[in-house]
This record gives sequence, C-alpha cells and structure tokens, in this order.
Amino acid sequence: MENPSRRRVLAAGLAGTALGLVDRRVASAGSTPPSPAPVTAEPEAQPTAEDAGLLAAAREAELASRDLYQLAIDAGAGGGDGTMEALRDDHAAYADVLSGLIGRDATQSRDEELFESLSAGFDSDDTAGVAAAAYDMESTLVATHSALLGQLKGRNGAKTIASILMVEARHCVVLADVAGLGDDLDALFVNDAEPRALTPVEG
Amino acid sequence: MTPPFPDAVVTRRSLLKVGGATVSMAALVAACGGDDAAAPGRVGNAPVESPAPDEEADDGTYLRTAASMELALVQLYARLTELGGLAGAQQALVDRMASDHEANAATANELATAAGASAFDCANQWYLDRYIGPALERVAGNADADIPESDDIARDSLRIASTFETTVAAMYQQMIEQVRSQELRVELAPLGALAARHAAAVAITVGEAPGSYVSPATSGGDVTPDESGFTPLYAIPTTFGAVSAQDMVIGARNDAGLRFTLPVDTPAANSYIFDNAVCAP
Repeated sequence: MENPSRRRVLAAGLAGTALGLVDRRVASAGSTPPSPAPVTAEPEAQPTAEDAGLLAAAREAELASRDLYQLAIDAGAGGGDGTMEALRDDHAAYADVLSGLIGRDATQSRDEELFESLSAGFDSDDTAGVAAAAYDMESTLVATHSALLGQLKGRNGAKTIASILMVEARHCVVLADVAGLGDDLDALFVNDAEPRALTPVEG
Repeated sequence: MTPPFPDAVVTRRSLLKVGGATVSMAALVAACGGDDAAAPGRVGNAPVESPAPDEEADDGTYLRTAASMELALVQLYARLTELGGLAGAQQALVDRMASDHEANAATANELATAAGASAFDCANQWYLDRYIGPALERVAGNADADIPESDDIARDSLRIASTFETTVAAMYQQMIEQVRSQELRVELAPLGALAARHAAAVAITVGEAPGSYVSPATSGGDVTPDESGFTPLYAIPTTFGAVSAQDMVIGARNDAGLRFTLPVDTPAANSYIFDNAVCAP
C-alpha cells in the first residue's frame, strides 16, 4: 500500500485533467512564505459574486466526497464502527452550510470529475485501502480550501471554509490511523498534497 | 513560591499606566479630603484583573500573538518532558509536536516581519501565567499551595496537550477571519491545520480506536464524563472547527472528589502581543 505521505494518488489522477493544478504549493510548517499583499480596506463580510462561484465549486467537491464515502460504505468498507458514516455526514454538512452561504447560487450536482477520478479507490470492502484513498482526498481538500481562502473576498466565506478545513485536517489523522499508519508521525502531520483548482460555478 | 514563568514582557504603556494611576488616585484623595482609605479591600481569591489594552489589533498583532502561542507550547512540552511522565510513543509524539511548534513560531515571525511588524521570540506570558503555569502545578504539585501531584502524570500531560493544541488550532481559525490580508489567510491555514492534527493524534493516543475517532456529539449524541471525572477526547470532536473555550480537567481529586477544571480560551485583547510589547527572554 502506498505511503500516504508520498506523492498523492489524487494529485497523480488529476494531473491530466482540464482543470489542472494551481501553480502554487500550500506553505507547510517551516517553509519561507511569500510576502502578503498590502491591504488597507476592511474586507467585506458577505460573499461577492465571484466568491459565490468558488464556494459553489467547493460545495460540489463536498458532495462528491460525501458520495465517495457512501460508495465505500455500500461496498462494505468501514468495519461497522460508524467512522466512514461520520466522515460522509461531515461532508454532507459542509455542502449544506455552503449552500446556505451562497443561497440561490447553490447547485444540486456533485463534482462528477472528482467523483469519477477517485471512485475506484473507494469502491472496495478493503477498509485500510479505502482509508488510504480517503486520506489522499482529504489531504487535497485541506490544501484546496487553504488556497481558496486567498481567493475569497468576503470574510464569511473565509470563516466557513476555515471551520471546515480544520476538521478535514483531523479527518486525515483518523484515516491515517485506520490505514495502519498511526505510528507514522509524517503521515499524521505532514500534508504535501497540492491544491486542486476550483472552477467557479456560475449561478 | 517562585512563579513558574517569570515575566518576560514589559511594555512602555504598562509602565505609564502604573504611573498615571498613582497620580490620578492621589488627586482623587486630595479632592475628596478626609483620612478614609481610597478603595475597599479585595475579598476572595480572584486573580488580579488586567484591564484590556486600548490598542487595535492589526495583522502584525495577530502574527506576533501566534508566534508567542507557538513558543508557549514549546515551553509547555519542555516542562512536561522534564516531569518525565511520558515514555515511548507518547514522548515521541510530544517531541514531534514541540518541534512543529518551534518551526511554526519561526513561520509566524517571518510572516510578522513581512507584514511590517517585529518578530516576537518569547512565549505568551499571559497564557503561561493563567493557563499553562496552573496546569503544570496540577501535574507536578505545589506543596506551598497545598496542591498535590497528579495521580497520573501521563494522562494529565496528554490532556493538557490536547487542550492547548485545540486552542492553537482555534486561534488560527479565528485569525483567518480577523486578518485583513487575504494572502495571509492562506499562510495561517496550514499552521492551524497542523495544530488540529496534533490534537486529533493526542486524542487517539489517549483513547482507544475506533471509539476515540468521532465524538457522538457530531451526530447529536451526548458526551459525558466517565467514572473518573474525565470527558473522553475525540480526534473529531465537532463537525465544524470550534472556537469556544474548552474545559481542561486534570489533576488528582480533591477532598470533594473533584478535579481541577480550567476553561481555556483563544487569545483575545488581554493576551495579544501588540506592537509595543518587547520580548525580554
């Protein structure tokens, strides 16, 4: 089984997609950060129209994540302890709160490209194997949401995304443990996943 | 008893406030006349109040505060290691978390200087005095204050770690909303995410998987203390990141059968490292 702390299955799967990858790696602890752009005005609270498009794309990714966990549950992964169900429900909740944030711009569809690219890793009763695939997915979600924070103009969108990514980071630790890597401190604490570019969804 | 963490931060504003208060009180007494005492005595054991500063926090403030909190955790883990209650995988976990916080403090300070503020290389004294110091006393004991040593140093060391890792994660989550620079949010997110991952790992170490993975509270269930008085720790305690205060329960039971409980909050005005704060290591 591939060590989840190495090159991401998800990133490799997306390398050839039309969406491509954001040409920027999320800063990890100890790296040299770029200088932030100077800001003089107080950021507005509500999502802008551009924000809404990005948040809608994030919502579609959450729905795809929810459905991937459901795929694994239906295939018999999880061992019956409720962990997969709980992670599925978390992503459903994230999609719901993003719907509330963007209101009438919310679409009902999942990110089909994301779902299809990852479904093979989830459609299995091998719990450890599914956990490894889910670990990659969650790692990319955390990286993607971190990058998204720099694109959102409204504070409320940033606040919501921050509250989501902090728990998705915890998901990674749980999944590393389920995958049998609970003693691998790099697997637990290092996220070298690359962010996935989000194409704004028009309302 | 010597305080566990002697003051490291003195501000010019704090010195001026003391001087100003002295002058003001003298003027008040002179105006009112009489020989009566100016103020009633304090009753009880409430800590001395520290009035909130009147400065406004900016991005530099948040980053300096973040650096100070990271360094507070480095100090915390050094003390816990000295107490020697942890071994093996638990100590390796603490060593790694300390190392991560050392690196994150450096990152926060790099961001602070990039934002035009000065680096701050001291632990957050407010947190050392009000939270970390008292917590360590309940682990090591304090005969002068009639505080017994912990009845399980390893347990309490990890519960303290869980509380402060969660607090630091919540701090960054709040700062993401507070900072004005959008770019800065991107830099803060991995720092908070790492603290959240630390907290999750501690919870799994303390508890027993898979029961320690997900809190029943995420699906509307109840979380109640066990027969020892401890609320179980979970790797995923909530569906969304929480920023509310946490109750840290540690230490040996007292005569009433209760353990030491301290609500720990994220940094606010009283614990921010404003621009005029000088670090005196």
